[in-house]
Amino acid sequence: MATRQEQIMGTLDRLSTNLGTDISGAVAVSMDGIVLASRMSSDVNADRVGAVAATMVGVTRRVSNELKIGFPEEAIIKANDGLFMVLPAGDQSLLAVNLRQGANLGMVRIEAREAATAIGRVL
Amino acid sequence: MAGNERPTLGNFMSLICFQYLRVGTEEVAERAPVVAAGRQRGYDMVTSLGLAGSTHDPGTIREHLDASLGLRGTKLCLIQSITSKPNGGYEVRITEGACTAGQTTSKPHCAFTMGVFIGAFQAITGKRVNGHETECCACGADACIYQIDPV
Repeated sequence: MATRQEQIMGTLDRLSTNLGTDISGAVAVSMDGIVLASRMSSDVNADRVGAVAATMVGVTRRVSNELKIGFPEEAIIKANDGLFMVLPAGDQSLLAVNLRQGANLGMVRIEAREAATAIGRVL
Repeated sequence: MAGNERPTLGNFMSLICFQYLRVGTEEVAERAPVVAAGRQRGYDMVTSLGLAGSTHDPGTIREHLDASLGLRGTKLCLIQSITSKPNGGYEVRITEGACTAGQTTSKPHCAFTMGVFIGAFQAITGKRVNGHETECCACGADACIYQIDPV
């Protein structure tokens, strides 16, 4: 039987396959910012990305709570040469996805939510 | 962190200021940036001592970390014990932790201190680890207990 990390890696691999050239990396992270499994490219510091992604979720939860707009479902940074999406994966972890400029956000959302749900189930 | 030494005040400041920094950061962004700062501190401390990848023995790890973090070190906490677990992880018991000083909460509170141990264990054992706190002095326990487990 596959270990938890192997199962999460499998989910990240399926996400990469399904999103093709839209995606350049993905990482599963604990809510404390600790990387649980990474498919980020070698030129990216996954540990730092994990800490930043968890901080993004923390900030969006604080903002959502302050504004009384419910529980955040995703946070997206759109930069001039790519996008970065973070979404909760269960109660204790999150999924962060690095996307190329021009990525199909509708498709990405569907695939990323499925992957986040799968990761949440494993953890 | 060399330069701008404090010839008069020295290396230590009040826990009051530390608590404002830590609690204020968590109020804005939750625990992750505080844990990340702790992890970096623990990792850098072990690396600067030349201990990276040096041992898996809990007694030796306790001795090294206590010398750096305890009464004769930076006074982050007192390490009561470190024991190994069957899964390759460790259980750490500390008292007088900086994170819990003067704090009363309903859930574990040691974001920075536990982060230091996560970073330190990762560096000293060479294995990727996660951590969670099972008991906390801020919640009324006698000691703060961290479970440091392989990822």
